[in-house]
Amino acid sequence: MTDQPNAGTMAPDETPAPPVQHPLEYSGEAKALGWLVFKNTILTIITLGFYRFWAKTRVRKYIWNSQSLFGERLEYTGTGKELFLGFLIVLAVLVPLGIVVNVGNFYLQTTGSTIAIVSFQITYYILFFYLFGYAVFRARRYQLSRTQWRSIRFAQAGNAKFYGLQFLGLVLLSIVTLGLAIPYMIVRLQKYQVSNTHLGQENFNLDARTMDIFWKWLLCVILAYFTLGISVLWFMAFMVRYMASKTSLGAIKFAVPVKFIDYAKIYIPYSLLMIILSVLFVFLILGPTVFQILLSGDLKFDFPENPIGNPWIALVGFVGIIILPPIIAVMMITHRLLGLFASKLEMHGEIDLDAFVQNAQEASKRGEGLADALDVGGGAGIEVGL
Amino acid sequence: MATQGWYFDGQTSARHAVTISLLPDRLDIHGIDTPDIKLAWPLKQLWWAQSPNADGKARLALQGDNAARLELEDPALIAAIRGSCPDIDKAGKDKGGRRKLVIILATTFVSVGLAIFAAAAILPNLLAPMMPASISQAMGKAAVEQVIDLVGALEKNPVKRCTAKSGHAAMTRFRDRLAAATDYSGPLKITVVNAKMINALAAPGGRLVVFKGFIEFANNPEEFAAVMAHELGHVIHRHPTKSMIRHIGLTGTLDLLLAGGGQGLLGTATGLMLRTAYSRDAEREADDAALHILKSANIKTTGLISVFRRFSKELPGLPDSLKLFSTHPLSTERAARLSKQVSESGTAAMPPADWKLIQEMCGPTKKEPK
Repeated sequence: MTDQPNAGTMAPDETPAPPVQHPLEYSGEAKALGWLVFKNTILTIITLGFYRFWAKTRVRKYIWNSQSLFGERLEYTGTGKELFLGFLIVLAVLVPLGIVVNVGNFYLQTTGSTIAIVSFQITYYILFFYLFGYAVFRARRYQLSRTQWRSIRFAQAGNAKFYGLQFLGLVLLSIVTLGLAIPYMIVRLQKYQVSNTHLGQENFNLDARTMDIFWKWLLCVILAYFTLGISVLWFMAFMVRYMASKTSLGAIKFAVPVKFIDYAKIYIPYSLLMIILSVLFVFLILGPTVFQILLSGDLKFDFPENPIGNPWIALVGFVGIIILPPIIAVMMITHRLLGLFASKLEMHGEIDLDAFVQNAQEASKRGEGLADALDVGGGAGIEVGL
Repeated sequence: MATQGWYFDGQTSARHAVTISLLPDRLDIHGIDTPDIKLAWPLKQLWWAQSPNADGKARLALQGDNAARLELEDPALIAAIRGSCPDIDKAGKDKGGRRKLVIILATTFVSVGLAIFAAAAILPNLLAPMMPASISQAMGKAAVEQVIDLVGALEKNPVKRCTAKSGHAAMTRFRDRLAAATDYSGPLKITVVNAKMINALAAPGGRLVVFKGFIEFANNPEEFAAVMAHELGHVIHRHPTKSMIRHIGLTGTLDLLLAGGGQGLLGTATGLMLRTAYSRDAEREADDAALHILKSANIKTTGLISVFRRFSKELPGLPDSLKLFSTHPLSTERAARLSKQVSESGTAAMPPADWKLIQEMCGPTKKEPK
């Protein structure tokens, strides 16, 4: 038994809520998450990838379940089966599309004119960006509809097709403006997502403005090169603070006072470790060859014709590329971000915990199949919701 | 036994204190402050919306109602419920969900198997003969250029085509002799390339590429003819076109099915295994065709054996354990298979003068005596 802090919340009647509260608590353990991800990876490989839907579900159940809002754990009600069925539906669309794209591309590459090739590729990217936006929105809708607190569902209203079109239009606008429209794109898409997010019948609202973030964004981009990308962490912290401060749920206001240093403490050790591991990885793969050259004195460099044919490279590659990175990422990034977010989240204002009413609208039936097939993951739990 | 717990009705977020009594066939749930809560949950329909946590809390739900929850804290009650419904740890939110899932999975695996089979075995044989000559020639041209670039990058030396006129004429005479022995009527173009690689290959549209390394490797015109007849066998069977179609089909299918992150490597490995399995069959077909072509052209077939024997001796092969990943059957295996069928009967593959011209196509040879 590990949790004492919330023992008091079981008292049946609530005293009036103080104006500022830290309602979220994260009780996940890095080791448990890492072990779960390890098991998932192995099972996914054994099943040629088909386990991934259940793998995702297990991780989400663990993460959602590890977050308590006002002492009540969140619940993830999605299932692997739903994700799998969604994937099958999507497959029926994507397989013919994939064949058309592949064959068309191949045909044009060998026989077509430059104009034909370029217009084919432009069409492809337009379709891709539209589907990408569509998929992101659908994934978010699925996750929210499968997120439950005190028996009340979260929900994502709004239109995925419209979101996809918006996304496409904003990407094109960003290209035309050489990236200057990116802050506008971020704000516009966030507003659409958050303002369509519900807890029961209660509606979230996001009152963000492009010009509030524009100059900081520009500074971040200009400095990114000179600071080896560290300015991005500074901008991230600012964005989370800003977006949280502009978010409301009825009369409730939010704040997430994270600082640059909080993100630096999470991302910099991770990046350093990944750099060290990459160097080690290259050394382990090239090591035996270098060793051979030293032993034989023969400077001929025999790069293996078929890397999978070399058992040593296969083993190092398997552990280094497939097994380790997801475990490290979940333990050093996901887990710590969840802890950080929970420790920082504040709610301001009177909250009646009993007053949320279920939205009668049926929860989305299908899974986030398209998102899965296009491989766009969603964020975790309530940090998406806010 | 009656214990206290909490009930959420799925309509509002209110938390109701309730008493829970475990009966042989059901749970009776009664509101303490809310007398209108009077529920009887059949044990057979219970599932854990949240399995008992480390902190001892658990949430029960009823199949078919995905919102209402009963929260338990009493370890004795949780144990008693587990005792009364032995299947509760396996139950999901839908009734009979598992059986449906098994059916869906089985159907999927069968259709995936069929899709892969279609992409690997049916489509290439079906589409290759339908491919218009203009496209396969364009494909072949692109492939040959790609190979030349690749070899140049590997040998760190831009690779040139060997175009000496007299050598070219000798090669054309040799080519026509081989082609006349077959009923192949399509285009046939041999490109000799100034690279060290000991190899020759076939590309779509009747394109053959020979590397200077192989011309130097061949001890006599019969060994050269054996490998060229083998490559011509690939052309006759349209192997290059088929393998290109197979490659496109398999890559597309496997990428979609096994999409995502690390599994990409797995897809590549599966695709590679499937493709190489087919390519080994193709090699055997080409070997048989080579034997047939050489015999029809009245060329000594012993070159086939000696060249493969020497390949296996002088070029290190893969260990047996990795046979699956080899695109060609082991050279020793091929030599053994063919050895019963070759014979000394027949003439030389070409006049010595022609062989000399071909050997010197890329400039004077620097062949070391062995």
